[in-house]
Amino acid sequence: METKIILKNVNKFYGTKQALKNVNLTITEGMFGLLGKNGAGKTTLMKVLATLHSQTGGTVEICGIPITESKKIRSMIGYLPQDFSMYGSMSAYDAMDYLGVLSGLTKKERKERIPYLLEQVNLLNNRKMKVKAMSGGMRRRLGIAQAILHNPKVLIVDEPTAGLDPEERVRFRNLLSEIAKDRIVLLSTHIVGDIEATCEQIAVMDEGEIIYHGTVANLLMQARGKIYSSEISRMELEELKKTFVVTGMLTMGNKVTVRYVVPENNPSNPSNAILVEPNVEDAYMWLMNQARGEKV
Amino acid sequence: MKNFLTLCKIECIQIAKSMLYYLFIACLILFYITQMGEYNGVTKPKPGAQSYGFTYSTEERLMMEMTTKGLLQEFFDNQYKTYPFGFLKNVVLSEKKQEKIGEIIEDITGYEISELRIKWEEKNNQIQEDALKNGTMIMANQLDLEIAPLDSISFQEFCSQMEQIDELIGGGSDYQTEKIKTSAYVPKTYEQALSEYEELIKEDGIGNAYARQFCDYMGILLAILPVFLAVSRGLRDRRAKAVQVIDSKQAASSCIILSRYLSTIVMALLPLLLLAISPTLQTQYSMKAVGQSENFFTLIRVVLWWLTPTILLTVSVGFFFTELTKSASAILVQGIWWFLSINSNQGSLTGMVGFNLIPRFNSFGNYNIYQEVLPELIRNRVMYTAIAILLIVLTIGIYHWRRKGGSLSHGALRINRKNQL
Repeated sequence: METKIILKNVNKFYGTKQALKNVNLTITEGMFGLLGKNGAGKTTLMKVLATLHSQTGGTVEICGIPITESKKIRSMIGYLPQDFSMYGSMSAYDAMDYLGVLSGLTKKERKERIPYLLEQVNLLNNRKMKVKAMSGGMRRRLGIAQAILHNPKVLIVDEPTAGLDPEERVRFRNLLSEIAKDRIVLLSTHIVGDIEATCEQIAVMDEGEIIYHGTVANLLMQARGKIYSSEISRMELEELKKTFVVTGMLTMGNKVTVRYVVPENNPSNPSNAILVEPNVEDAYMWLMNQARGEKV
Repeated sequence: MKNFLTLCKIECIQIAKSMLYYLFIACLILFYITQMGEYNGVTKPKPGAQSYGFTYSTEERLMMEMTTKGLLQEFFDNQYKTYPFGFLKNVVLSEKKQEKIGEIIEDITGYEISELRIKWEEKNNQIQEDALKNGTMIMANQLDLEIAPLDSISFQEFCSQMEQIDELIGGGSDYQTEKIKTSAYVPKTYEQALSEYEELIKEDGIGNAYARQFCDYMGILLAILPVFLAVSRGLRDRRAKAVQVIDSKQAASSCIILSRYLSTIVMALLPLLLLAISPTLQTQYSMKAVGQSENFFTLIRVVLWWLTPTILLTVSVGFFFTELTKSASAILVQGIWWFLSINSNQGSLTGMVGFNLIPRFNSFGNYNIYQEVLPELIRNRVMYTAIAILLIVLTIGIYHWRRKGGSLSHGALRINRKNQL
C-alpha cells in the first residue's frame, strides 16, 4: 500500500461559509508543508484528514483507504492539534499510556514504545512530571510523542511551533524532520521559517483554496526577479509601503533597508533599488500578492 | 476487551486522584454517621416494659376515627394542611366548597354541621377556660372532637368520601387513601413487639432490615452526588484541551464512554460497600447472639440491587446532559429531579416506592410492609436501570456524532457549525 494522501475536489461548508474550495492535492512521503495566513482553511483541512470533521463534498483517501472509514484511518494517522494538552494531573508517562490504550496498543507494546519515544523527544527524565507542570515546549514534544506512539503512516501536525521560543522551535523542526524519514508528515503553519527549514514540498492556502502546490525551489524560482532591496530614509518608507508589498526591513539610524515585491514594469521603483534573490518569505508574500489579483 | 478493562482501570485511578471524589466520600460518611447513628443491636422484648414503640394500626375503624377527628378540626378552622412539592401549604376554602365538605361530614357522622359546631365551640371554650385557670398550654389534639363515623359506613365508602374532600382541597391533603392508612399511629403491645421480633430474627434477618434503612438514607445522597462526578468527567477533556487528541484515536466511542461510565459507577459504589462492612459484621454478630445465621453478603447484596439503579441513573443523567450541552447543566437537571423525588413522599416514609427515584424505607424491620412493596420496588429499580441504559446509549450516540464534527446549534444537531477555520 502506497503511503499517499489524495484529495479530490474537497469542499467544506460551515453553514453558508465555504472553508475549503475544491481542494485537489496529492501528498507523498516526507515532510509536506501547508502554509497560509490565519483563517486560510489549514486547520479545517487538517481536521478533515484527522477524521474530526467530514468534508461536504469531494473525496479523500489516505493510503488507499477512504476517509469515511474513520476507524481504519485513525489507526493510520497521528494527530497533534494546535493547542495540544492532556489531563493536568497525569504524568507524561501516564498520559502516553492512556493515549496508547486509546490507540489500541497492547501492554507490551506500550512498555516498549513509551520510554523509547519519551527518550526521542527528550522527555524521559521528565516522565513523572505532571502535564500541568510542563512548559509549552515540553507539552508540544509530548504531543509529538503521543502522535507517533502507534507508529502511524501519516503524522498531521497543526501549527506546532506557535508560541515556542527560538531554541525550542529549531529543536522541534529537527525532530519532525527525523520522524518524516519513512512516513508523511503534514505540517500546517503560518510561520514561513518552519517550512523553509523543513519542507521540500509545500502547498499554500488562501481563503480555502490551494493557490500553490509544488517545491519550495520552484516557488523561489517563480518569485525571482520580483524582489528588490533599497536603502531609503524613514520619511520615504510610508510612501513606499503604499506602493509596494514590503517583505522585510532593517532600520539603521535614520536609514531603512527595505525588501519589497515589485510588480513587473512598475515605473515607481526607486532608482537605487537592487534586484535581490528571494527567500521563502519574499516568495510567499509575492504569491499572496499575486493571489489577491489573479489566483495561481 | 483487555484494553477496555485497562481504560476502566485508568479511569478509576483518575477518579481516585481527584479532590471531588474525596468530597463525595466525606459527604457519604458524614451523612451515614449523622443519620444512621450507632447500631444498637436487637433485643427481645420483655413483658411489662413501659413502651414497645409505636406502629401504624391496621384497624380500619381506628383509621376512620382518627381521620374524622382531624377533618373536623380543619373544617371548623377552615385551614387544611396540604403538601404540594413537600412544602406545607394551608388551604382556605370558599364557602361553597366548605358547604360541600360539610355535607360529606354530615353523611359520615350522622350529625348536622350546626350540632357539631356547637359541640366544637363548647369544647374549645372549656379547654381554654381550663388552660387559663391552670396556667397550662393547650395541646393541638386536646381540641379534637371525639366524633366517630357512622357504623354503617364501610372503610371503602369512607375513603371514597375522603378522596372527594381531597379533591376539593386541591390534592396533597391528609384525606388521600394512602395517608388515611397511616393515620392511626398507636403504641405497640407486647405481643405485637414480640411477633415483630420473631419475624425479624426468623424470616427477615437483621442484615436485611438494616440494609433497607441503610439504602433509604444513602439513596437520598446517591440520587444527587454522583452527578458531580459524572459532570466533572464529562467536562474534563474540554478543560484539559484534550478533546481533539482523544477524538483522533482509534478507540470506539462506545469503549471510551462506557469505560468512563462504568468506572464512575464502580467508584461511587466503592465507599458505599466499605461503609457497609461495619454494619455487616455487627448484624452478623447480632444474628449469632440469638442463635441464627445470616449470609455474610446479605447487606451488601441489598445495597447493590437497591442503590445501583439510583447511581446508574444519576451518573447517566450526568453524562448525557454534559455531552449534550457541554456544560454543567446536568447538575441542575438532576438537582430538580432530586428535589421533586425527595419531596414527593408525603405519606409514611416507610414503604413509599411508586416511581420515585428515591424509594423510602425509613424504619428498621417492618418486614410485612417490605413484602407488600417488594414487587413495586423491583419494578421501580428495573425501570430506572432501563432509563439509565437508554441515556448512556444516547450519550454514546451524541459523543460519536460530535467526534465526527457534529455539534449542537440552536437546539438542532448539525455538522460543523463552529467558526473554526
